[in-house]
Amino acid sequence: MKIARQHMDQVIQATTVADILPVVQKVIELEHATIPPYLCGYFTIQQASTKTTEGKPTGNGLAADIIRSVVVEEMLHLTIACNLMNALGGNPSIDSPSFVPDYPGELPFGIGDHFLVHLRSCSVAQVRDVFMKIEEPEHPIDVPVLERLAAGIAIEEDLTIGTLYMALSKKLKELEAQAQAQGKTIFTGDGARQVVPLQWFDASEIWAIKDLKSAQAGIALIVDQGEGTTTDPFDTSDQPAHYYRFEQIVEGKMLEPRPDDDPPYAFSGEAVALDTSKIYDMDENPKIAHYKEGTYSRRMATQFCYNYTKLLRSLHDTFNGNPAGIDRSMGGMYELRFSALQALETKAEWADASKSDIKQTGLSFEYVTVNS
Amino acid sequence: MSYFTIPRLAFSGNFQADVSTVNNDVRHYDNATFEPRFQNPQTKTEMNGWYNPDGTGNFRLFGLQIHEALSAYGADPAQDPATGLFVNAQAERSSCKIVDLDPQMQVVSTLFGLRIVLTDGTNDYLSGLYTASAFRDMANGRAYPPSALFMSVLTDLEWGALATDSPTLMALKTAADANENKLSINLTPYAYGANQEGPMVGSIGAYATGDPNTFVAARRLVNETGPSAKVAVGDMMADIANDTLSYDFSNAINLNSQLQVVPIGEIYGAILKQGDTVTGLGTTSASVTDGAEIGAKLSGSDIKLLDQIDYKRSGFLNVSAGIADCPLDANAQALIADHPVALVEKIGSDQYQIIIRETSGGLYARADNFVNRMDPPMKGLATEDVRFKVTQWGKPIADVTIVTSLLGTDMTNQYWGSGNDGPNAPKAKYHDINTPPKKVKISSGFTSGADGWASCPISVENPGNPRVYVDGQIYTATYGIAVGNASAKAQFDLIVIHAREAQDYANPPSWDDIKPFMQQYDNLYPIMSRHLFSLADETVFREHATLLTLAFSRPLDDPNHMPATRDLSTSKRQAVLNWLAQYTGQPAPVAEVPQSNAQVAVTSVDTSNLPKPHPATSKGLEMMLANLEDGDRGKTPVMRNYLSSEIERIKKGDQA
Repeated sequence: MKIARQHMDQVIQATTVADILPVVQKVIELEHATIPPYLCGYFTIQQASTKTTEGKPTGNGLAADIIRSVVVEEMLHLTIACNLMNALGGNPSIDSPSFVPDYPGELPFGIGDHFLVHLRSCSVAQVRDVFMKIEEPEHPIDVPVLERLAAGIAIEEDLTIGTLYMALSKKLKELEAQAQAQGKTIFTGDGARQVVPLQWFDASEIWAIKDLKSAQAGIALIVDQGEGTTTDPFDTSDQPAHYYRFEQIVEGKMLEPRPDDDPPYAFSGEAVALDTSKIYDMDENPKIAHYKEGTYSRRMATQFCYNYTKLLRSLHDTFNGNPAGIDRSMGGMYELRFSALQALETKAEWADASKSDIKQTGLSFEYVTVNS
Repeated sequence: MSYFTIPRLAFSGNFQADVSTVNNDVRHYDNATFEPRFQNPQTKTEMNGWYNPDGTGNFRLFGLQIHEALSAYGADPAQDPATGLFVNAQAERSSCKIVDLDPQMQVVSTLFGLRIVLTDGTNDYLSGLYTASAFRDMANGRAYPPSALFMSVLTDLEWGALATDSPTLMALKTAADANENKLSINLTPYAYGANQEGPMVGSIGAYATGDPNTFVAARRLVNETGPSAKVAVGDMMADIANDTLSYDFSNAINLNSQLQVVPIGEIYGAILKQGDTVTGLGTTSASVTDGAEIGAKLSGSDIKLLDQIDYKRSGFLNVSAGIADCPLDANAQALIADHPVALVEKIGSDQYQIIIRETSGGLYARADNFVNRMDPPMKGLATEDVRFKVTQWGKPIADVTIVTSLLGTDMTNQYWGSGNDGPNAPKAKYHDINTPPKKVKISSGFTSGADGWASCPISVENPGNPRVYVDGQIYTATYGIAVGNASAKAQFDLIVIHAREAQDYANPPSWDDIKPFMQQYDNLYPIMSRHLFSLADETVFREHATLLTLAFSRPLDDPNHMPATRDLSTSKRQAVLNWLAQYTGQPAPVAEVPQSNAQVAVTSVDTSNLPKPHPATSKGLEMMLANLEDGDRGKTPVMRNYLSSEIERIKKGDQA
């Protein structure tokens, strides 16, 4: 995905850690901002349609697993980004109205030429036009580009989020080298603030960030899982990168390696056919204000947002000195799922009396601090 | 000092008790006869899974707002910035849970894991943890369906920077700082309707060190019946702080079907000048005689008349949470120290009729930790002290004896809503509670100390599973003050025990060991089994080993505790954790045992010569039954069973 030039400049021109922290905060916001659209996709797939009576996953089940697996990795990336922020002595800011995008809206960094992300039910169109667009890999990561940028040489190539992450990695190396030369380090954060929940993530994916090596490894993992390698759709753990993982839903078949073919992979695996009759028809780009005051529809929309905001508060606390709070946050994530279900089970009752569409109450992911 | 004295914060709004109702019928616990239709909502002809089978167990507060922050009598609440604050639940944790003790004990529903947060939406002013507490004093009999009191204390108080702007919050902080860092709180929910939502009022006030956690040990005004067209006010409390007597009408005032206060005449606060006579306290001939009874007509010189109760004003319930204040002058303060508090109706130019008055002799005793989840080991005892607070005229009193009596199997259907099966009753039989009686020991009599506290030691042995398909056993005991003619206890004042079943499992246990009770949860909570994953599927259980280990090892008062119903014995929860540990790569956490370390031996004193507590009469209960609404929502079916069987019991002369 292309990003706006100014953000790259912010990294390249940074001369202190304090210059870098706002970029890391934006990375945290970006990793979070993809989660609401993905969760709308995941939550709208009705659980009863995910397995056959024999317990085999259906097309809906495979699609749900695909989306869920990406959401889990985005949560991992958010954790890594928060650990980086803490390692650099910063404070991740999660519990604030400005943390939450106003959907339909742009992603942080003006990603994809300010393309608008919509909250919609799961469909092939939504996966193709929104999910894949969010995860679209661009050109291979080009180190010479960074050097030319730093030297103030004009460049033709599009700047991508992958490039920004690598620029960030490079800048950390530069700043740390400067600090080391003075017998100091830029990794001054309190190690007790690192969140390393080995109960939820594998040790190959999450570690405490305490120095340049662990920081760069974290950034590399985010890029690898998101964009994959430059040569094939699988990341270094042989999982399809997010873009190709989503493409399976659009192609209608699972991606599989075919070592004897050229290219050595194809969408030739198990069928992934969405059964749209078993997907909640959610109000598109919902807002609490869409629903009539005093109705259960309005209540459930508000309740969902209140639970979502509670979860942000829990995560904020977790990443600001209470790492054990991650378990409470996990409880909050399951509650969010039940709350989504209760909203989606409720027929939308419109505030606009002229509206007569039959839709289900939507998941609007608004920042709501009062359960009204 | 308590939640309804000054200083206090009064609020109102709404709640949702999103309970699952499949477990409302104990017979649904029987896996062998469980039918898939029990997970469906009830229809006109079939009860199925009752009215909300997909419930989550969540208890939510919404639209709750402080409408009256009162720092002192006569202060203007509009000038206090705490007026207008929102009363939020949780803030950063999962929703609090509302939980019955057992399918055969549905009159002590308890809130677990509630955090109360006062906020303007941006800044938190005060937050505190609500100590798990069961509702009390379910009131019925008026046109509006039942209400109840959820009284408790707030602990772990955190004061926001802006709290200093509020005189009421600062007065409460001063009180909390001097009193164990606690505040007193009450929530009065009124019956819920569609979507399990209903209105609620409540208040927060000062707590005094030495007070109980789950009720206010102050002045109880007794009425054996709930409020109704014929009975102006039901059982209620009055309490004094800062030279002001406050009455809590929230659960006691008569309401029409629109939740509007029904006029009951011109009502005044009052102190009865003719005192009661109390003789022989601490002896077997202790006795009390009322100076003036309910209904007595008195002249102005017989009473110390206090302020008129302005209950007719708009906002009495929604703004003031149904609380009325009467300042006490020096004469009143002296008189109230040993004379009954009352409410009187003005019926003539100098004539007043008592519509409700304080307990006989001002004596009041109530159990604090009256609901007990007890986990005996395979062999040996689980013990607990049920703590009673005894007061006279609102002050602790020594040498008052309380007697208890274990109830029998005739109570089996009192605490749940059986008997409304429709044409297709579940096939399982239900089994008696309170048996075998030898598994439980409850002290038959005990006496208060100088601080008013009295301890009732109880113990249980492993009950096994006398009810065959549902864990453990329920035991109930009644109690009363052993003073002749002392007022009858409040309805539902009981000692309640859930004796959980101990089992020896291999470590690790087999799936067959734990499958039966996980199947039960799968049947009873379709929100999980239909919409998330099946708890009765070994593969799924294994795949979620880490998540389930977390949930099954949470303390009881953690909102994420599993099972949400908090009814699984410790040995069974430990078996689940041991099974899961095979797949988490971590040692199994130790399941928390929810019991005290009470070591007091249960002694049975000879109570044969003690005076019997005042017998309850069936008259009030009959009136409540006659006024009970139709239908099966909420606690109505339980109330119906309770009232009809209690009336029958009283008529039989069983005055246990």
